[in-house]
Amino acid sequence: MTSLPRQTDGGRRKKLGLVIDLDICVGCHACAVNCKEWNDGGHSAPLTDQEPYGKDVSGVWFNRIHSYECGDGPTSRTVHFPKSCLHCETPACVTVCPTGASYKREEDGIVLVNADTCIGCKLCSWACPYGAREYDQSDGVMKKCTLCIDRIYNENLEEVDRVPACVSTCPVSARHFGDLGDPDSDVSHLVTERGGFDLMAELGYQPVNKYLPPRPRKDKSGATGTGDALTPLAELAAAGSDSAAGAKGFLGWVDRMLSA
Amino acid sequence: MHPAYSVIFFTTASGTGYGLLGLLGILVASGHLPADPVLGLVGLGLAMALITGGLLSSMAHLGHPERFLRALTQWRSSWLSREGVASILTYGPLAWLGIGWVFFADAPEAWRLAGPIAAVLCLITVWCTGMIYASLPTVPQWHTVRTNWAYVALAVAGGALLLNVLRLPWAPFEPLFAIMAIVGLALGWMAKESYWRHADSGTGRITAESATGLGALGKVRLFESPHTQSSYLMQEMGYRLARRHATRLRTLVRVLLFAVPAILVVVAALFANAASGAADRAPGLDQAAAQQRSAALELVATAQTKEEEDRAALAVVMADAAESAAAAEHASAANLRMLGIIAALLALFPAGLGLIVERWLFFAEAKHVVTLYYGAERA
Repeated sequence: MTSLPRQTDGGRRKKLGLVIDLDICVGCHACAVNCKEWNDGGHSAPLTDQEPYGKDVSGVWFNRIHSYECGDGPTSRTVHFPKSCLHCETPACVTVCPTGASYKREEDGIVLVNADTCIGCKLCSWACPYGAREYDQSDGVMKKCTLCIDRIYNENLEEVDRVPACVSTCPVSARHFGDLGDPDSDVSHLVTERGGFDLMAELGYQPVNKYLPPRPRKDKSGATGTGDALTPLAELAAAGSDSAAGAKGFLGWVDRMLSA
Repeated sequence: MHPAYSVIFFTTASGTGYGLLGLLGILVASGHLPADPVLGLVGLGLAMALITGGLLSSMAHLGHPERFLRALTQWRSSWLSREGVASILTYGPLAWLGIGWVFFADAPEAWRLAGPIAAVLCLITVWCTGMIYASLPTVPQWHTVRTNWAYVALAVAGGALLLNVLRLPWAPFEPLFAIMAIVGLALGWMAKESYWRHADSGTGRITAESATGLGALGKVRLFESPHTQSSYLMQEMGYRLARRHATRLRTLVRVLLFAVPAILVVVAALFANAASGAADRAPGLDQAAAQQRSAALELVATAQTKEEEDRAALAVVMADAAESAAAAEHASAANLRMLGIIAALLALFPAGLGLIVERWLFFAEAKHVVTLYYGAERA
């Protein structure tokens, strides 16, 4: 059924999702690689590739890392930007589905596709603003991030491993997994403290996954945690042409020769 | 957006088929079309072929066409499902109308009601087709009711153009059909211009800054793509079309789909009008020629003197001239009628080609907001 689960007033619903820290991500693509590896044998398997050893390689990936340059000049910065399904609260990919193959789980809000009933019309991929839907050209069905549903509920795994593959593998802990429907969860605290935001909020899809903005830039030596002793050196360097005045020895000779 | 040939064929062929079916239904119910079995068979057969051909073609773009029946289940939330249900419901009154028109032409009161019902279902189906696109805020160009109006108006225009040809054997000149075709084309043109104005100006609200949420840091530019090779997303949503081609193709649509067919419909109507004038005059001339001939024959039979023989010979010559004038009027009526038929038929070709270009452009020009993650600045 492609209608959305009814909103229960008062009663809090579980909303499993990710919080991605854009301040920390280094763009190493490990999350994307581990996602591909895990899901190639999991719930939506296989994630097929076209021409894997040919000239035009393409295939199914649930997680992709874009890198953006923001701002201009000395204050510009590079932001690495991982993107997978945001498991929206009002996902149009679910409501546009003509077959009921696409659905949002009432119990935890995870958005899934039933590959046995999907007809491969691709409309859900058109309805998703985030590009989270991946059409499998070999299987003729739509696939997508399952939030590693076969890991997070897997009692055969150690409890510490019951997180999505992307979260478990991130070498810098830029990704966090938890219940965003619970205001007291760690992920909810992170969102509150760091000003977590929605992507393309104006479209009203209400993504569950949140992004934490890069922290403010630290321009002064003190702000970076280094000792104040470095500041005079920086001032000396900034002083320019006079910095070599009074130098002795070989450099002093070079300075005198060049100044003459 | 990637213009899939199966979807282009589906929306153009089925749309025209529904336009034709709806107009046939309304016009036979209102008594503007004869309850003739051949017209019912040809007209409704053509409508059904277009509709069914289009629906089958739409299945060609599915990953699993054999599961298509499942697509009828989610009518509560999905416009695609609603369109599927409506398209299949339309076969009901279509069959009722077809059986009645072809086999029970002499008892039209039993099946005429199917006409308006078919027309309403045709309108609902085409509206649903438009809604599949208009309901997507992810493609700002499509996200407008102008999309629906363009789909409906072009379905009516296509149906009216076909009908303008189909009714020719039954009604050589009937201004109503030419007027309907012209009005349909005019509505289609207006709807399309309005859509294009929206597509050019009403978008660009969503930016790379809001897509990434990084606007506070300044202008956002793609530094590195997430993959070195193409992907499904880039093939499906990142269709590229040079702006100058779009402008030329729109001009082509204006000429092929609207202007040339409209001119040909008017030319066809003028020929048909002249033909029916000639056909009206011909019987009078026939009669006059016959009278002259009998008078001449009488003179020939009763001629006694040389003078009377001369007068009889002159009467024979005049009778011959009157007969050839009548024959010329008959020939001119036939020729004009043929020219009218040719002009009406010719209108279909540029219109069909223009409609395909229009639909290709509808897809190719539309930009999905996911392109914002791949370097587009606005969508």
